[in-house]
Amino acid sequence: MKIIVGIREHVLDFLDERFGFREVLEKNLTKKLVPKKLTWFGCFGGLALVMFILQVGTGVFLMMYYRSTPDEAFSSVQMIKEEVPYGWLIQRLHSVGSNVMIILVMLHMLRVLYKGIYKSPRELHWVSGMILLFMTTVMGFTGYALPWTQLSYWAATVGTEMPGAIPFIGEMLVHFTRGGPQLSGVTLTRFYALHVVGIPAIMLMFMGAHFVMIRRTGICTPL
Amino acid sequence: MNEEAAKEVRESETGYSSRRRFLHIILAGVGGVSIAAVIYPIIRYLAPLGGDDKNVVVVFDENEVMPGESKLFTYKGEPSALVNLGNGFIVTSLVCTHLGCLVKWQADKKVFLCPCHAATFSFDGKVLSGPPQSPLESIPFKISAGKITIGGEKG
Repeated sequence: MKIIVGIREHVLDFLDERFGFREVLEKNLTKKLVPKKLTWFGCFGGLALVMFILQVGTGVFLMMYYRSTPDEAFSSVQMIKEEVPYGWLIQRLHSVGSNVMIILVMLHMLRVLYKGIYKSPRELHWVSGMILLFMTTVMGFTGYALPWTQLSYWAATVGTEMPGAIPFIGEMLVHFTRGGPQLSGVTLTRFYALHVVGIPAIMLMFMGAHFVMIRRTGICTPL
Repeated sequence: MNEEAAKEVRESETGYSSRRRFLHIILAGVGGVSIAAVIYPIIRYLAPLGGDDKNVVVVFDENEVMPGESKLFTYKGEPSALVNLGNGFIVTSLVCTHLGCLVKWQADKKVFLCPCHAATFSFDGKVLSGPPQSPLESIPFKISAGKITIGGEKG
């Protein structure tokens, strides 16, 4: 037992000398004091991050069996749900998790709005947060289309129809998002690309900014 | 008595140390079970989905393969071929003994050619050129009443 502890210490010393992780851990975790009077309502943002990580994890597993063509999208999702062992669990975690994530992000936003936490010096937290909220809903929208069911198809039709109300450029925008005048396999593949790579990449950038800023200004303590 | 030793005595007297150890074990147990509950479905999800070719006997009709032609099939999960030489048949695994690429029967030259490092094998599987050190694995078969039975008992 003593030998194991000794080896562990040795390895940790070796890594610490090169990464300096102990200092980072102390500053951010073990010796960081939780602000006074911080309530559980302050956890929505962190919980949203947990959901994001869960969505990435389950999403990667779903990608291994999902096929993004109009012919195979529906049947591949059926296969995941019915034939792949525990596929039902992964698929359900991903679809329910998306709703939970949107709810958490909304609650996070409402609390920040109600408590006035967006005020100086946290204006950019709010801006990046609103972008993240929008991105989360776009993730929900693009993901909803991927199983290519009747519900998916018509939800995507209605959703992509909306920019059509904009004067002059509306119709062009609709054709642009759909990749044609009607919803088709082209729409499915571009939704898929946005859903699995494009939007998550943008989200990660804004999440990084969001977290760096909250580390700098600290969580707003109640009066 | 220094402070460390005093603390130790206090802990052993109050049972603090054993209680802590008990809680550690409980925590490790619960944590381990939770992690296993996550890992197990993932491993099952990622495991290959059936479909393993467990065919141990493959039967072909004698005139299914024209002289000089070959027919591909899987035998015990390995890509294999039946070749009609005109004056007889050969059955062999197509997995190159060098690095596992799949060799192809060249009807005009009567050799098996490996696409990866241009190794050639003769019709009976012997190495003619290239890096492989051992011949292609031949598969036992027998012919009776116009049927070629591959696998099963030797003969």
